[in-house]
Amino acid sequence: MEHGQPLYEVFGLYFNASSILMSFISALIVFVVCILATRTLALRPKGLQLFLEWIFDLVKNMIGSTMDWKTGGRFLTLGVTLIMYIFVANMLGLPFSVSVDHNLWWKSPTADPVITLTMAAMIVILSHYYGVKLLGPKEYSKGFLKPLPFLLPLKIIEEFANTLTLGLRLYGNIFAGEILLGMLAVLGATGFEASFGTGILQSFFASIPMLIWQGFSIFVGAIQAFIFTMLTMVYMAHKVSHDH
Amino acid sequence: MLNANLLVLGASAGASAVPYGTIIFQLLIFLVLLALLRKYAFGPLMNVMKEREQHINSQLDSAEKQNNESKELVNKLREDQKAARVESATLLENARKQAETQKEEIITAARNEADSLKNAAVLEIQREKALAVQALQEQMASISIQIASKILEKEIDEADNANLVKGYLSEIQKVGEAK
Repeated sequence: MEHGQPLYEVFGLYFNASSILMSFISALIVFVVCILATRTLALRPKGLQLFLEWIFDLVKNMIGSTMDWKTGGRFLTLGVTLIMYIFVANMLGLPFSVSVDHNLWWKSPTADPVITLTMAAMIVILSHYYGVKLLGPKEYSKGFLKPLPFLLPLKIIEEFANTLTLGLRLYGNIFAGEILLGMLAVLGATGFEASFGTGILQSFFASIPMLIWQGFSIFVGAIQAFIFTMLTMVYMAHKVSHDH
Repeated sequence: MLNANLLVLGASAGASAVPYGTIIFQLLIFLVLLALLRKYAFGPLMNVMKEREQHINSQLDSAEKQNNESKELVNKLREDQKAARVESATLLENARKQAETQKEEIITAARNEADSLKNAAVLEIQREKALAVQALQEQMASISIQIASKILEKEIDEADNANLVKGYLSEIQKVGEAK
Protein backbone atom coordinates (compact mmCIF):
# COMPACT_ATOMS: atom_id res chain seq x y z
CA MET A 1 0.00 0.00 0.00
CA GLU A 2 2.99 2.29 0.11
CA HIS A 3 2.79 4.49 -2.94
CA GLY A 4 5.29 7.03 -4.06
CA GLN A 5 4.51 9.99 -6.22
CA PRO A 6 6.03 10.55 -9.63
CA LEU A 7 7.93 13.74 -8.90
CA TYR A 8 9.93 15.35 -11.66
CA GLU A 9 12.18 18.33 -11.40
CA VAL A 10 12.04 20.80 -14.25
CA PHE A 11 13.85 24.16 -14.02
CA GLY A 12 14.22 23.71 -10.28
CA LEU A 13 10.45 23.26 -9.85
CA TYR A 14 9.01 19.98 -8.67
CA PHE A 15 6.09 18.60 -10.63
CA ASN A 16 3.87 15.83 -9.40
CA ALA A 17 3.11 14.29 -12.77
CA SER A 18 0.21 12.15 -11.56
CA SER A 19 -1.58 15.06 -9.88
CA ILE A 20 -1.09 17.21 -12.93
CA LEU A 21 -2.28 14.44 -15.21
CA MET A 22 -5.35 13.67 -13.15
CA SER A 23 -6.16 17.35 -12.68
CA PHE A 24 -5.88 17.82 -16.40
CA ILE A 25 -8.16 14.84 -17.03
CA SER A 26 -10.74 16.23 -14.60
CA ALA A 27 -10.64 19.59 -16.29
CA LEU A 28 -10.92 17.92 -19.69
CA ILE A 29 -13.96 15.90 -18.64
CA VAL A 30 -15.67 18.97 -17.20
CA PHE A 31 -14.86 20.95 -20.32
CA VAL A 32 -16.15 18.25 -22.68
CA VAL A 33 -19.34 17.77 -20.66
CA CYS A 34 -20.00 21.50 -20.57
CA ILE A 35 -19.28 21.93 -24.26
CA LEU A 36 -21.55 19.00 -25.13
CA ALA A 37 -24.24 20.42 -22.89
CA THR A 38 -24.17 23.80 -24.58
CA ARG A 39 -23.92 22.75 -28.24
CA THR A 40 -27.63 22.86 -28.88
CA LEU A 41 -28.90 25.61 -26.64
CA ALA A 42 -32.65 25.90 -26.53
CA LEU A 43 -35.16 28.03 -24.69
CA ARG A 44 -36.80 24.77 -23.69
CA PRO A 45 -33.84 22.85 -22.29
CA LYS A 46 -33.50 19.11 -22.30
CA GLY A 47 -30.83 16.51 -21.61
CA LEU A 48 -27.41 17.82 -20.67
CA GLN A 49 -28.44 21.46 -20.91
CA LEU A 50 -31.07 20.80 -18.28
CA PHE A 51 -28.44 19.15 -16.10
CA LEU A 52 -26.08 22.09 -16.46
CA GLU A 53 -28.88 24.54 -15.73
CA TRP A 54 -29.71 22.53 -12.64
CA ILE A 55 -26.11 22.99 -11.46
CA PHE A 56 -26.39 26.69 -12.23
CA ASP A 57 -29.51 26.88 -10.10
CA LEU A 58 -27.77 24.98 -7.32
CA VAL A 59 -24.86 27.41 -7.27
CA LYS A 60 -27.24 30.34 -7.65
CA ASN A 61 -29.04 29.22 -4.51
CA MET A 62 -25.71 28.92 -2.68
CA ILE A 63 -24.79 32.46 -3.68
CA GLY A 64 -28.28 33.66 -2.89
CA SER A 65 -28.08 32.24 0.61
CA THR A 66 -24.79 33.99 1.39
CA MET A 67 -24.95 37.38 -0.33
CA ASP A 68 -27.18 39.51 -2.49
CA TRP A 69 -27.29 38.66 -6.16
CA LYS A 70 -25.91 42.00 -7.32
CA THR A 71 -22.50 41.32 -5.79
CA GLY A 72 -22.70 37.53 -5.88
CA GLY A 73 -23.70 37.13 -9.50
CA ARG A 74 -20.11 37.49 -10.67
CA PHE A 75 -19.11 34.34 -8.77
CA LEU A 76 -21.64 32.14 -10.54
CA THR A 77 -19.30 30.76 -13.20
CA LEU A 78 -16.54 30.32 -10.64
CA GLY A 79 -18.88 28.36 -8.41
CA VAL A 80 -20.17 26.18 -11.23
CA THR A 81 -16.66 25.42 -12.45
CA LEU A 82 -15.53 24.65 -8.89
CA ILE A 83 -18.36 22.29 -8.05
CA MET A 84 -18.13 20.42 -11.35
CA TYR A 85 -14.36 20.21 -11.34
CA ILE A 86 -14.12 19.03 -7.74
CA PHE A 87 -16.93 16.54 -8.15
CA VAL A 88 -15.34 15.01 -11.24
CA ALA A 89 -11.94 15.03 -9.53
CA ASN A 90 -13.39 13.25 -6.50
CA MET A 91 -15.03 10.63 -8.68
CA LEU A 92 -11.94 9.81 -10.73
CA GLY A 93 -10.21 7.85 -7.97
CA LEU A 94 -13.22 5.72 -7.14
CA PRO A 95 -13.43 3.05 -9.86
CA PHE A 96 -9.76 2.05 -9.85
CA SER A 97 -6.24 3.24 -9.25
CA VAL A 98 -3.17 2.67 -11.36
CA SER A 99 0.35 2.54 -10.05
CA VAL A 100 3.49 2.01 -12.08
CA ASP A 101 6.78 1.15 -10.37
CA HIS A 102 5.17 1.90 -6.98
CA ASN A 103 4.23 5.32 -8.18
CA LEU A 104 0.52 6.03 -7.99
CA TRP A 105 -0.62 7.46 -11.30
CA TRP A 106 -4.37 7.17 -11.48
CA LYS A 107 -6.08 8.65 -8.42
CA SER A 108 -8.24 11.59 -7.53
CA PRO A 109 -6.28 14.80 -7.98
CA THR A 110 -8.06 16.00 -4.85
CA ALA A 111 -6.32 13.20 -2.89
CA ASP A 112 -3.18 15.33 -3.20
CA PRO A 113 -2.98 18.11 -0.57
CA VAL A 114 -0.97 20.26 -2.94
CA ILE A 115 -3.88 20.40 -5.33
CA THR A 116 -6.53 21.08 -2.69
CA LEU A 117 -4.45 23.64 -0.85
CA THR A 118 -3.72 25.36 -4.13
CA MET A 119 -7.44 25.59 -4.79
CA ALA A 120 -8.11 26.79 -1.24
CA ALA A 121 -5.39 29.41 -1.40
CA MET A 122 -6.66 30.55 -4.76
CA ILE A 123 -10.17 30.97 -3.33
CA VAL A 124 -8.99 32.88 -0.27
CA ILE A 125 -6.74 35.14 -2.31
CA LEU A 126 -9.60 35.72 -4.75
CA SER A 127 -11.85 36.67 -1.84
CA HIS A 128 -9.30 39.26 -0.73
CA TYR A 129 -8.99 40.52 -4.28
CA TYR A 130 -12.74 40.98 -4.59
CA GLY A 131 -12.86 42.47 -1.11
CA VAL A 132 -10.47 45.22 -2.19
CA LYS A 133 -12.09 45.58 -5.57
CA LEU A 134 -15.69 45.87 -4.43
CA LEU A 135 -15.30 47.65 -1.09
CA GLY A 136 -12.19 49.72 -1.71
CA PRO A 137 -8.93 49.38 0.27
CA LYS A 138 -10.18 51.44 3.20
CA GLU A 139 -13.38 49.51 3.78
CA TYR A 140 -11.50 46.26 3.17
CA SER A 141 -8.90 47.06 5.85
CA LYS A 142 -11.60 48.05 8.28
CA GLY A 143 -12.98 44.55 7.90
CA PHE A 144 -10.04 43.24 9.92
CA LEU A 145 -10.95 45.46 12.88
CA LYS A 146 -14.49 44.22 13.11
CA PRO A 147 -16.23 43.34 15.28
CA LEU A 148 -13.56 44.46 17.81
CA PRO A 149 -10.15 45.97 17.00
CA PHE A 150 -8.17 43.79 19.43
CA LEU A 151 -9.30 40.68 17.53
CA LEU A 152 -7.03 41.69 14.64
CA PRO A 153 -4.48 38.89 15.22
CA LEU A 154 -7.28 36.35 15.28
CA LYS A 155 -8.70 37.76 12.08
CA ILE A 156 -5.34 37.36 10.39
CA ILE A 157 -4.93 33.82 11.69
CA GLU A 158 -8.48 33.14 10.50
CA GLU A 159 -7.49 33.75 6.91
CA PHE A 160 -4.76 31.11 7.10
CA ALA A 161 -6.98 28.77 9.05
CA ASN A 162 -9.65 29.17 6.39
CA THR A 163 -7.18 28.24 3.69
CA LEU A 164 -5.92 25.22 5.57
CA THR A 165 -9.33 23.89 6.60
CA LEU A 166 -10.83 24.46 3.18
CA GLY A 167 -8.02 22.57 1.46
CA LEU A 168 -7.41 19.85 4.03
CA ARG A 169 -11.06 19.01 4.53
CA LEU A 170 -11.38 18.12 0.88
CA TYR A 171 -8.02 16.37 0.80
CA GLY A 172 -8.69 14.38 3.97
CA ASN A 173 -12.08 13.11 2.87
CA ILE A 174 -10.98 12.03 -0.56
CA PHE A 175 -7.58 10.70 0.49
CA ALA A 176 -9.07 8.64 3.32
CA GLY A 177 -11.67 7.26 0.98
CA GLU A 178 -9.04 6.20 -1.50
CA ILE A 179 -6.81 4.67 1.16
CA LEU A 180 -9.66 2.54 2.42
CA LEU A 181 -10.62 1.53 -1.10
CA GLY A 182 -7.00 0.61 -1.79
CA MET A 183 -6.78 -1.46 1.37
CA LEU A 184 -9.98 -3.30 0.55
CA ALA A 185 -8.69 -3.94 -2.95
CA VAL A 186 -5.46 -5.34 -1.54
CA LEU A 187 -7.45 -7.46 0.89
CA GLY A 188 -9.46 -8.85 -1.98
CA ALA A 189 -6.38 -9.62 -4.06
CA THR A 190 -3.85 -10.98 -1.56
CA GLY A 191 -5.86 -14.03 -0.57
CA PHE A 192 -4.86 -15.74 -3.80
CA GLU A 193 -1.26 -15.99 -2.57
CA ALA A 194 -2.36 -18.60 0.02
CA SER A 195 -4.72 -20.69 -2.06
CA PHE A 196 -7.39 -20.19 -4.71
CA GLY A 197 -10.23 -20.98 -2.27
CA THR A 198 -9.01 -18.46 0.27
CA GLY A 199 -8.63 -15.94 -2.53
CA ILE A 200 -12.24 -16.35 -3.66
CA LEU A 201 -13.49 -16.18 -0.08
CA GLN A 202 -11.40 -13.12 0.74
CA SER A 203 -12.43 -11.37 -2.48
CA PHE A 204 -16.04 -12.05 -1.68
CA PHE A 205 -15.81 -10.68 1.84
CA ALA A 206 -13.77 -7.70 0.70
CA SER A 207 -16.20 -6.83 -2.08
CA ILE A 208 -19.12 -6.21 0.28
CA PRO A 209 -17.55 -3.38 2.30
CA MET A 210 -15.92 -2.15 -0.89
CA LEU A 211 -19.30 -1.84 -2.57
CA ILE A 212 -20.67 0.04 0.41
CA TRP A 213 -17.60 2.24 0.71
CA GLN A 214 -17.61 3.13 -2.97
CA GLY A 215 -21.24 4.15 -2.72
CA PHE A 216 -20.43 6.20 0.35
CA SER A 217 -17.43 7.74 -1.42
CA ILE A 218 -19.65 8.94 -4.24
CA PHE A 219 -21.81 10.58 -1.62
CA VAL A 220 -18.78 12.04 0.16
CA GLY A 221 -17.29 13.25 -3.12
CA ALA A 222 -20.52 15.06 -4.02
CA ILE A 223 -20.89 16.50 -0.52
CA GLN A 224 -17.28 17.71 -0.48
CA ALA A 225 -17.67 19.40 -3.86
CA PHE A 226 -20.82 21.06 -2.53
CA ILE A 227 -19.15 22.10 0.73
CA PHE A 228 -16.08 23.49 -1.00
CA THR A 229 -18.23 25.63 -3.28
CA MET A 230 -20.52 26.67 -0.45
CA LEU A 231 -17.58 27.72 1.74
CA THR A 232 -16.07 29.57 -1.21
CA MET A 233 -19.24 31.62 -1.39
CA VAL A 234 -19.28 32.13 2.37
CA TYR A 235 -15.70 33.46 2.36
CA MET A 236 -16.48 35.65 -0.61
CA ALA A 237 -19.55 36.98 1.14
CA HIS A 238 -17.51 37.79 4.24
CA LYS A 239 -15.14 39.85 2.18
CA VAL A 240 -17.47 41.62 -0.20
CA SER A 241 -20.54 42.42 1.87
CA HIS A 242 -20.84 45.66 3.76
CA ASP A 243 -22.53 44.47 6.91
CA HIS A 244 -19.64 42.47 8.36
CA MET B 1 2.93 8.25 3.87
CA LEU B 2 2.19 10.19 0.76
CA ASN B 3 3.12 13.83 1.08
CA ALA B 4 3.33 13.59 4.84
CA ASN B 5 6.40 15.76 4.84
CA LEU B 6 4.66 18.42 2.88
CA LEU B 7 2.62 19.39 5.89
CA VAL B 8 5.72 20.00 7.92
CA LEU B 9 6.63 23.59 7.28
CA GLY B 10 10.14 24.11 6.04
CA ALA B 11 10.59 20.55 4.86
CA SER B 12 13.98 19.80 3.45
CA ALA B 13 14.58 19.82 -0.28
CA GLY B 14 14.43 16.72 -2.43
CA ALA B 15 11.49 14.38 -2.96
CA SER B 16 9.64 15.96 -0.08
CA ALA B 17 10.08 19.53 -1.28
CA VAL B 18 7.02 21.63 -1.90
CA PRO B 19 6.09 20.86 -5.51
CA TYR B 20 5.66 24.43 -6.71
CA GLY B 21 5.40 23.08 -10.24
CA THR B 22 2.24 21.22 -9.31
CA ILE B 23 0.85 24.33 -7.68
CA ILE B 24 1.52 26.46 -10.72
CA PHE B 25 0.18 23.82 -13.03
CA GLN B 26 -2.94 23.31 -10.95
CA LEU B 27 -3.64 27.04 -10.90
CA LEU B 28 -3.07 27.19 -14.61
CA ILE B 29 -5.34 24.22 -15.32
CA PHE B 30 -8.15 25.54 -13.19
CA LEU B 31 -7.96 29.12 -14.43
CA VAL B 32 -7.74 28.01 -18.06
CA LEU B 33 -10.70 25.70 -17.50
CA LEU B 34 -12.62 28.57 -15.94
CA ALA B 35 -11.77 30.92 -18.81
CA LEU B 36 -12.60 28.37 -21.50
CA LEU B 37 -15.88 27.42 -19.87
CA ARG B 38 -16.83 31.05 -19.47
CA LYS B 39 -16.15 31.72 -23.08
CA TYR B 40 -17.48 28.62 -24.78
CA ALA B 41 -20.04 27.10 -22.43
CA PHE B 42 -21.28 29.28 -19.62
CA GLY B 43 -21.51 32.52 -21.52
CA PRO B 44 -23.87 31.16 -24.15
CA LEU B 45 -25.77 29.16 -21.56
CA MET B 46 -26.29 32.15 -19.32
CA ASN B 47 -27.35 34.17 -22.33
CA VAL B 48 -29.97 31.56 -23.10
CA MET B 49 -31.09 31.51 -19.48
CA LYS B 50 -31.33 35.29 -19.46
CA GLU B 51 -33.16 35.20 -22.76
CA ARG B 52 -35.60 32.68 -21.34
CA GLU B 53 -36.11 34.85 -18.30
CA GLN B 54 -36.84 37.87 -20.47
CA HIS B 55 -39.07 35.79 -22.69
CA ILE B 56 -41.08 34.56 -19.74
CA ASN B 57 -41.25 38.05 -18.30
CA SER B 58 -42.46 39.55 -21.53
CA GLN B 59 -44.93 36.73 -21.96
CA LEU B 60 -46.24 37.32 -18.47
CA ASP B 61 -46.47 41.04 -19.13
CA SER B 62 -48.29 40.59 -22.38
CA ALA B 63 -50.57 37.98 -20.87
CA GLU B 64 -51.44 40.40 -18.11
CA LYS B 65 -51.99 43.17 -20.61
CA GLN B 66 -54.17 41.00 -22.77
CA ASN B 67 -56.06 39.86 -19.76
CA ASN B 68 -56.78 43.46 -18.82
CA GLU B 69 -57.69 44.28 -22.38
CA SER B 70 -60.07 41.39 -22.64
CA LYS B 71 -61.60 42.33 -19.32
CA GLU B 72 -62.14 45.86 -20.59
CA LEU B 73 -63.55 44.49 -23.80
CA VAL B 74 -65.92 42.23 -21.94
CA ASN B 75 -67.09 45.13 -19.81
CA LYS B 76 -67.55 47.29 -22.87
CA LEU B 77 -69.42 44.56 -24.69
CA ARG B 78 -71.59 44.02 -21.67
CA GLU B 79 -72.44 47.70 -21.55
CA ASP B 80 -73.05 47.73 -25.28
CA GLN B 81 -75.31 44.77 -24.93
CA LYS B 82 -77.21 46.45 -22.16
CA ALA B 83 -77.58 49.63 -24.21
CA ALA B 84 -78.65 47.65 -27.24
CA ARG B 85 -81.21 45.80 -25.18
CA VAL B 86 -82.62 49.07 -23.84
CA GLU B 87 -82.62 50.57 -27.29
CA SER B 88 -84.34 47.61 -28.85
CA ALA B 89 -86.91 47.67 -26.07
CA THR B 90 -87.65 51.37 -26.68
CA LEU B 91 -87.74 50.79 -30.42
CA LEU B 92 -90.17 47.96 -29.96
CA GLU B 93 -92.26 50.05 -27.61
CA ASN B 94 -92.30 52.97 -30.04
CA ALA B 95 -93.22 50.69 -32.90
CA ARG B 96 -96.00 49.21 -30.86
CA LYS B 97 -97.31 52.66 -29.98
CA GLN B 98 -97.07 53.79 -33.54
CA ALA B 99 -98.84 50.69 -34.73
CA GLU B 100 -101.48 51.28 -32.12
CA THR B 101 -102.06 54.88 -33.23
CA GLN B 102 -101.95 53.87 -36.86
CA LYS B 103 -104.47 51.19 -36.19
CA GLU B 104 -106.71 53.69 -34.45
CA GLU B 105 -106.32 56.15 -37.29
CA ILE B 106 -107.06 53.54 -39.91
CA ILE B 107 -110.03 52.29 -38.04
CA THR B 108 -111.36 55.81 -37.48
CA ALA B 109 -110.80 56.73 -41.09
CA ALA B 110 -112.48 53.56 -42.25
CA ARG B 111 -115.34 54.14 -39.90
CA ASN B 112 -115.71 57.74 -41.07
CA GLU B 113 -115.57 56.70 -44.65
CA ALA B 114 -118.02 53.95 -44.06
CA ASP B 115 -120.30 56.38 -42.26
CA SER B 116 -120.08 58.94 -44.98
CA LEU B 117 -120.64 56.27 -47.61
CA LYS B 118 -123.59 54.98 -45.69
CA ASN B 119 -125.01 58.47 -45.29
CA ALA B 120 -124.50 59.18 -48.94
CA ALA B 121 -126.13 55.89 -49.81
CA VAL B 122 -129.04 56.63 -47.49
CA LEU B 123 -129.51 60.08 -49.01
CA GLU B 124 -129.26 58.60 -52.46
CA ILE B 125 -131.75 55.94 -51.56
CA GLN B 126 -134.14 58.52 -50.14
CA ARG B 127 -133.74 60.71 -53.13
CA GLU B 128 -134.22 57.80 -55.48
CA LYS B 129 -137.18 56.69 -53.45
CA ALA B 130 -138.71 60.13 -53.57
CA LEU B 131 -138.15 60.28 -57.29
CA ALA B 132 -139.55 56.81 -57.76
CA VAL B 133 -142.54 57.66 -55.63
CA GLN B 134 -143.11 60.84 -57.60
CA ALA B 135 -142.75 59.01 -60.91
CA LEU B 136 -145.01 56.30 -59.63
CA GLN B 137 -147.55 58.87 -58.54
CA GLU B 138 -147.51 60.52 -61.90
CA GLN B 139 -147.67 57.25 -63.70
CA MET B 140 -150.30 55.95 -61.36
CA ALA B 141 -152.32 59.04 -61.93
CA SER B 142 -152.16 58.78 -65.68
CA ILE B 143 -152.65 55.00 -65.58
CA SER B 144 -155.57 55.44 -63.25
CA ILE B 145 -157.02 58.06 -65.47
CA GLN B 146 -156.55 55.90 -68.45
CA ILE B 147 -158.08 52.95 -66.62
CA ALA B 148 -160.89 55.11 -65.30
CA SER B 149 -161.47 56.78 -68.63
CA LYS B 150 -161.48 53.42 -70.24
CA ILE B 151 -163.90 52.10 -67.67
CA LEU B 152 -166.16 55.08 -67.53
CA GLU B 153 -165.64 56.06 -71.13
CA LYS B 154 -166.13 59.77 -71.39
CA GLU B 155 -168.78 59.76 -68.54
CA ILE B 156 -166.79 62.04 -66.46
CA ASP B 157 -164.86 65.04 -67.51
CA GLU B 158 -161.23 64.26 -67.74
CA ALA B 159 -160.23 67.25 -65.65
CA ASP B 160 -162.73 66.52 -62.83
CA ASN B 161 -161.59 62.96 -62.91
CA ALA B 162 -157.98 63.93 -62.59
CA ASN B 163 -158.76 66.06 -59.58
CA LEU B 164 -160.73 63.26 -58.03
CA VAL B 165 -157.97 60.76 -58.58
CA LYS B 166 -155.34 63.12 -57.25
CA GLY B 167 -157.40 63.60 -54.16
CA TYR B 168 -157.56 59.83 -53.65
CA LEU B 169 -153.91 59.44 -54.29
CA SER B 170 -152.89 62.12 -51.85
CA GLU B 171 -155.12 60.36 -49.35
CA ILE B 172 -153.31 57.13 -50.13
CA GLN B 173 -150.01 58.92 -49.77
CA LYS B 174 -151.00 60.29 -46.42
CA VAL B 175 -152.01 56.89 -45.28
CA GLY B 176 -148.67 55.53 -46.62
CA GLU B 177 -146.68 58.18 -44.83
CA ALA B 178 -148.62 57.68 -41.71
CA LYS B 179 -147.75 54.01 -41.82
